[in-house]
Amino acid sequence: MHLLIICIASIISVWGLYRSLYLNNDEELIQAGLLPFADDPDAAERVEAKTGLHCDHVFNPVAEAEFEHGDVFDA
Amino acid sequence: MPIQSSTQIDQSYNYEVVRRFTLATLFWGIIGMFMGVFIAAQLVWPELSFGLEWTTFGRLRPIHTNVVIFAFGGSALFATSLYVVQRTSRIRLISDGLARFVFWGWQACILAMVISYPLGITTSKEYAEMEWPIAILVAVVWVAYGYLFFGTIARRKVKHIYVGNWFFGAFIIVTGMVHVVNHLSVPVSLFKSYSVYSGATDAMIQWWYGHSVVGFILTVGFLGIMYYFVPKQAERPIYSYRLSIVHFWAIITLYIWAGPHHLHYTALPDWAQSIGMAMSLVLLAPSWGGMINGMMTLSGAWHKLREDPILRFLVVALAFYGMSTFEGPMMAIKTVNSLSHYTDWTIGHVHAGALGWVAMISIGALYHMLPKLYGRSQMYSIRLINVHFWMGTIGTVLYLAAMWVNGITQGLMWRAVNADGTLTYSFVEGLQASHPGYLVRLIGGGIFASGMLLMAFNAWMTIRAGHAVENLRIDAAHEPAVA
Repeated sequence: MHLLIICIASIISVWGLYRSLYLNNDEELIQAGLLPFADDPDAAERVEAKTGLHCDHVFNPVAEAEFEHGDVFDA
Repeated sequence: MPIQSSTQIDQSYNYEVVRRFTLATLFWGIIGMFMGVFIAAQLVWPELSFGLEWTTFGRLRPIHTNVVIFAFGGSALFATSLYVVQRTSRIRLISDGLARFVFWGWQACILAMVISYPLGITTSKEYAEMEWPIAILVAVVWVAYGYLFFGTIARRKVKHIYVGNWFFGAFIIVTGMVHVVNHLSVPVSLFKSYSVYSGATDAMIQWWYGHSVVGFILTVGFLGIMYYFVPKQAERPIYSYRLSIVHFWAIITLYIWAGPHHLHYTALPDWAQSIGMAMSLVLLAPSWGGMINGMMTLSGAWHKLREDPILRFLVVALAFYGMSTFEGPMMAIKTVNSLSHYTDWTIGHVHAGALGWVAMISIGALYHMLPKLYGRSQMYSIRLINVHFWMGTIGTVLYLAAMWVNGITQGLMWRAVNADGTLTYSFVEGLQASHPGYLVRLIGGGIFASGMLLMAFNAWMTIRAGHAVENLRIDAAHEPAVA
């Protein structure tokens, strides 16, 4: 029973690692690393200026909320 | 700098729960750390127990440990995980009502612990002292938290789940699992239960849980904080995203096996002790991989440390993380453990992690979040953050140095034998030799805890100014946002 649990845990870990590492290409990993800056356009600009890495998914959370909820300033 | 009102922010993300947990982190941090200072003083001046059973060291210590781990550390993790998951998933939390339940439910759990421990209502298991009704409440709140976190991830608007969320997710799942398994018990009254396990099995389950608290709450959870806040504050993406993935899978695979090193030279079967030792040693590799990944994120941005005390908090936290994750595997080696175990060296090791890593990274993350949560461009006083940083660093170093000296002194005195085989020193002689170290530890801990008061003042002034901004939200709304 213990051996079975160890085997299952090992297989899950190795499969997870393989899936995470090799089913994403380099560009996807770079974009994943830039996610903390995606909702912060100013920071994303500064990061790009310093590193040359462009975040493809920049958005403004306030603007998006405005689109979804109507006039955000009435709240 | 442009500013953004709290009202605006609330339309995008649920910051209400994040703000509450942020303030709870500050509140419980002050309570828990000063409780630690008080019991440290009791070891210098034992008269401070006042001859009452409710205020003895044995009853107050669990309040200190539970408040700093579950109330301070827990609230920091709730605040940061719910902040990060929204921002990196590009969506508001799935339920505001559930978020409120998680906050108030968790505060109820903490209050129940703080009230029951001095009354002697305890299971006597370390970090698992809560009796069964509290354990059930903790489990219910934890399930709600898990649903809130994973439900938000399930509805995310981005394809990829950011690696910080992986660490938070593992922390939530494993903590829930070990909490339930270790608290399985047979209640005999409302306030008393007995574990379903017995003997060495009970000890092994307890330290499987105990080390998983260290591993998955105090390490994996806080690595989630590191993976978001270090890149964000440094304005550089994490050094190697690939390494962060390897780090994640390696650390969650290994950490769960390290518990038996708490039971070296006990009735636990020798093979189990050896597995604990071997797994602890292997654990050094992913731990340092993560530490190096965090440190190297500052490549090309080291100059920022000169003027940014928040980044300094985060980076020094990583340095202490590297130091304590080197020390831990060394102490898990059985021959080293024969010297270090039951001595103050263990207390020093724990606080290298607790003060140097957990508290420092939490403080850095809170300083990063507070202005954003209250619509300010920065904290009220950067100078005060700087003073706080040095108080935290000096306090931690004093604490650790005192405990290392005490621990090695105690270990050597306890094992010293005369030619005829009798002990060279009595226990009391070891205690007397430890007294100066206890005083230095008290001073170091006092300095660290006092730094939290500075932070509370700085936070209060920032929040007050934030309210003023909120009153001007129409004007502020026309300013470009800073997130």
